[in-house]
Amino acid sequence: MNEDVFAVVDRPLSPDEIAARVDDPGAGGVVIFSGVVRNQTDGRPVKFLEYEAHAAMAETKLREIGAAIRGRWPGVKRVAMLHRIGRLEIGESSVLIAVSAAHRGDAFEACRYAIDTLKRTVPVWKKEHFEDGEIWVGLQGG
Amino acid sequence: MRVRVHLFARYREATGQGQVDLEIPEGGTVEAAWSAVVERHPQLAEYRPFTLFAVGHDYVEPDHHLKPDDELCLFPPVSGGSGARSRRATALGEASL
Repeated sequence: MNEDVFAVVDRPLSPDEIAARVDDPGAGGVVIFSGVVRNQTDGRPVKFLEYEAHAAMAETKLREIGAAIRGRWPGVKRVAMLHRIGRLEIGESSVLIAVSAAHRGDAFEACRYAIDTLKRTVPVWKKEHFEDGEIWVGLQGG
Repeated sequence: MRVRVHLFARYREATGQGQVDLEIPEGGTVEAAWSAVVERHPQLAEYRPFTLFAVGHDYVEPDHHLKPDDELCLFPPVSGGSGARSRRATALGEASL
């Protein structure tokens, strides 16, 4: 359990589990970001979402984000990034990122960097299902 | 040379295919492969300005030269739905980078 974690998975994501993955005795803070399925887009009620990824490349890009964090914030102890694919209901978590660091500032900054970079570089798409149709969007649209 | 092209999300649904095998001239570019795909699936043509390309696990530019048996990925626009909405959303997405 002492390796950074970067994975695309097709099961529900657990904040407790990802917190455990960044556990470190030298950490003074853990920041967890959870991206969740919203119940509407531009006022249009969403029924559920489907996520699709190029999983192998997505995991490579997640790993690159982890490496960049290591270079930029030496105080970071551990990084874990999980992206879920498949069908997700309203309120479920589609992405979980956890960063532990010696001090909270590094943990907050690195976690923010991780989610912002993920949305630009990780090949994942989502399809929003509405009562009257469906639409593919990229992560930046969400 | 043979090149395998992988299609994702709306491209897979629009064409009904997850992959397309192409024969293109030796040393052909990503752009040439795109043109060959559009010849078979003209419904993709309008997405060209917003498409991202990858070979292996790396993003590549349209003028990247392909090698035999390369696997080229075509990634749909990062935002939006219908053509018009997609253009607007993509422009906003880029502006906010």
